[in-house]
Amino acid sequence: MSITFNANEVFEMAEEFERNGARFYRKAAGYFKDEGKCKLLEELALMEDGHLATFQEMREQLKAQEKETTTFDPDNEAGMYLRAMADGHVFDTSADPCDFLTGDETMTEIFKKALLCEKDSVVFYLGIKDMVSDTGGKDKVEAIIREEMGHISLLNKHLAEL
Amino acid sequence: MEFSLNAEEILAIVEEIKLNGVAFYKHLARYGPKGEVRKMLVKLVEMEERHAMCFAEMRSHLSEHDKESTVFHRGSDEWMYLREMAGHHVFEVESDPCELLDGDITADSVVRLAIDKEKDLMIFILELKRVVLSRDRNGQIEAIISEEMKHIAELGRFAALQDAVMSRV
Repeated sequence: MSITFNANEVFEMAEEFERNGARFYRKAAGYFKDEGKCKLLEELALMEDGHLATFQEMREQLKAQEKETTTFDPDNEAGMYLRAMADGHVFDTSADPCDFLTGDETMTEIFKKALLCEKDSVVFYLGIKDMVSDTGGKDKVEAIIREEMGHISLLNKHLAEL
Repeated sequence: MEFSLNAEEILAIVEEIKLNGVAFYKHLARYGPKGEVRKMLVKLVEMEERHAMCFAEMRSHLSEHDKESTVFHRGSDEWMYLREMAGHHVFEVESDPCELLDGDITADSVVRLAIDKEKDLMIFILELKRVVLSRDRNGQIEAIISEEMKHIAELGRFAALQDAVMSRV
């Protein structure tokens, strides 16, 4: 069974990614007393807030027709890639990373979970970048991908230090 | 001491990672469960071999201009990271793949692992892009990224197919 989806839905998924990411970092920050680690988690949450705002803005700027119709051929490479993302096999599209948090996790476990989520977002956003035009915000998506890669580097660095 | 890493060597690293994947899945196919899981692993081996050949072919088409060097300092964070990722962190060449899966070698666990490894490789390639971008004048890294996106999509379809097969069993 093929999955059809449109640009509006793809951006909604991206927004959900960022919303969940911000909530995850804030919830995790609440579990620890280490000021440095809490500050890091709060800063990551703030950056995800920024990404959410960017995706919301890009979705608002979609023309009405682009919101409703499938804006790409599901059999071309961009469409196949996004379909693979959307159908839940490359990552769980319905998962909320906050469900992982019980309050008993170590900082290592939290950083590892965050790393998995950040990698998923990067992999997903590569498909979005291919989907949007240069005038539709390709450079904004590229900037978000770069920032998420920065998060990955930061998390890896802190994991190595723990 | 400086270490030069050009487009040809970058493609060779990515090809090496893919061949590590081939060895990884062959090991699982040899020592893991038989039946449907083994058949699936054989298909994964074929897929990774094809992916490795893609990068070998890209490498064979490089011009002399493409092979212009990018210079890293040996022992620099960037160089160390690249070597670590290529040899150890994408496919753990010194580990027993069966142990990596904690003995849980099912169709589902292997496909999920394959997808996770592809994501790790994509992150590695994007990190490469970050460090060599200014020197990647002919877009070799972008070409590698496009190729890897196709591989991830292919694995996603493969996972969907496995789900469909297993649900009928």
